[in-house]
Amino acid sequence: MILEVNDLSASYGKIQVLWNVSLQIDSSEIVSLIGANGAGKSTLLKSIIGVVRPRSGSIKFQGSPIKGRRPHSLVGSGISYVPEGRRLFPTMNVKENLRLGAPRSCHDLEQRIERVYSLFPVLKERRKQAAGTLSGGEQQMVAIGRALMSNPKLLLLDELSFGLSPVMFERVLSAIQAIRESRVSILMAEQNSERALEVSERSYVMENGRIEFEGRSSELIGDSRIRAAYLGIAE
Amino acid sequence: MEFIQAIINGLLQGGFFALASIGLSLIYGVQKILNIGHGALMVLAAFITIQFSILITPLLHIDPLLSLPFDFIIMAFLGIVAYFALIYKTENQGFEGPLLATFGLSVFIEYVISSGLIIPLPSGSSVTILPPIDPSYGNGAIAQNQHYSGQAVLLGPYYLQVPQLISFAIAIAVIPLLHIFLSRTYYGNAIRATAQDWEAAEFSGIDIRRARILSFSVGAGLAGLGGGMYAFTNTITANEADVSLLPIVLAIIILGGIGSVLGTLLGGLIVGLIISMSDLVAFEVLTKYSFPSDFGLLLTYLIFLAVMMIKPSGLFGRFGR
Repeated sequence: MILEVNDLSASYGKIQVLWNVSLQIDSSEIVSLIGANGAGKSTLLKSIIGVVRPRSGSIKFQGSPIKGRRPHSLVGSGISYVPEGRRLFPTMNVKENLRLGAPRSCHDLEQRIERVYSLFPVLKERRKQAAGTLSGGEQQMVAIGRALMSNPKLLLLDELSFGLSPVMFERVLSAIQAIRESRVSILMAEQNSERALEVSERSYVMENGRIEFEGRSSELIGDSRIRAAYLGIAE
Repeated sequence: MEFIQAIINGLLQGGFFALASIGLSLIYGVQKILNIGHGALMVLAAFITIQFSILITPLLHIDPLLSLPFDFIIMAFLGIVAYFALIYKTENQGFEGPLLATFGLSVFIEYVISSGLIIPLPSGSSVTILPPIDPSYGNGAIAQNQHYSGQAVLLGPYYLQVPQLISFAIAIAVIPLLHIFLSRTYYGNAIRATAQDWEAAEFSGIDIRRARILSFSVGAGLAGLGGGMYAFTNTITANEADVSLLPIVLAIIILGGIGSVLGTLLGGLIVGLIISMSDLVAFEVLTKYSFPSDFGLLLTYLIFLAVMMIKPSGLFGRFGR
């Protein structure tokens, strides 16, 4: 059990946005978090990475409680977060952006960078290019690559499809599956419910800050309620 | 002839301006905190250098220039203390908190400079934690470093005033080094990343608290360097730098571009040249029409406004400003 979230509640100021959320993630699985805009998917990810302070509940990573720890120390412990909208450092080039994802003292820096390049070959061509000048898909690759530079065991992806063409999204999704092959667990919050259900093993469906459904993605995809609400398929 | 001399004067004085501005530029560029205490830190360093030259130099025959590293270290340390005491809690909540905090720092330092830190006890006596650092107790008239002032070397037919030459040399050495630090080292890149997007920096695993402490203390230390050199060129009072230097420094860092270290260097040199050129013009041409002697300063601000209207991000503005 790589991640255990128990009964988590969180608020933005006085407004409660997460209500008693629980989920688990095992090693080497892709778990998707689907739901409408504002359902709380992003907030849940941000609570895990330490940007949002939960009000109650617990979060355990590899058995140890992590609630309240600062984000940069969690990155050092093996959790990486790819934020919604990429959030690269615009005036720095691809290589500099990647480098900053790795710890300060990193003995195998070049190998880590090469691994990112082998996952996303186009980045190697563009390695000296300023990140702000890349296309949306390329930026998404850099953002994922930067998150991989810390050798995470758990990768949190926030709205990967955001601003990407379907072709680009597919390319990125196949990279995600390759990442899972190297025994990294992945929790992806995703608006594109259909694809998210197709690539993940398990899913949690969120509504209004709560988990409404959970289970194997292959079963959820056949569930008529899910199909009606999230896949736009009327029965 | 006078033209070339004016250019030389302008560049050397500009070097001093750049040195005086680089600390403020770094802190503002990285954390968007306008360190109002910058002037006070400069003056404190200036007085430390003066005290050094009064107390230590005659005793140990150590050149007062060697007080400069101490200025840097002491101000950098004060920067760390000030950061934790004043800014750390307020910095993510808008700019008002840190602004007031640095203003308070400024007032506090200036008070300690002229009156020391003397705490009256109930019994009637008092305990002196720190005596007034200003040897003239706030009068300022005699607070000038006598070493090097007024000296000049000759380069061909042209005079190079020694204090300004030293400031210029330090600026030319330190500022490019700072630029290299920011662009080529991990901590430098981490500082720039924190400046561009602190949340993304956090997600990348950068310890943004450490990056901010580092940039604030280096910025304060650099204010110390500028202040130390200030002691060689001017008579000073406790609030001197706030009144005469801080406005110019602000114009310089905005002119050169927020977030650009080399821009600050260029801005300082340009302002130095503007002032010396207009002094030349004033002397040659305008004395007939009794033009104000601060014409150079006025011209500087006018040019600053013009640049702002054309390119608000400054000459080398980056970091999205």
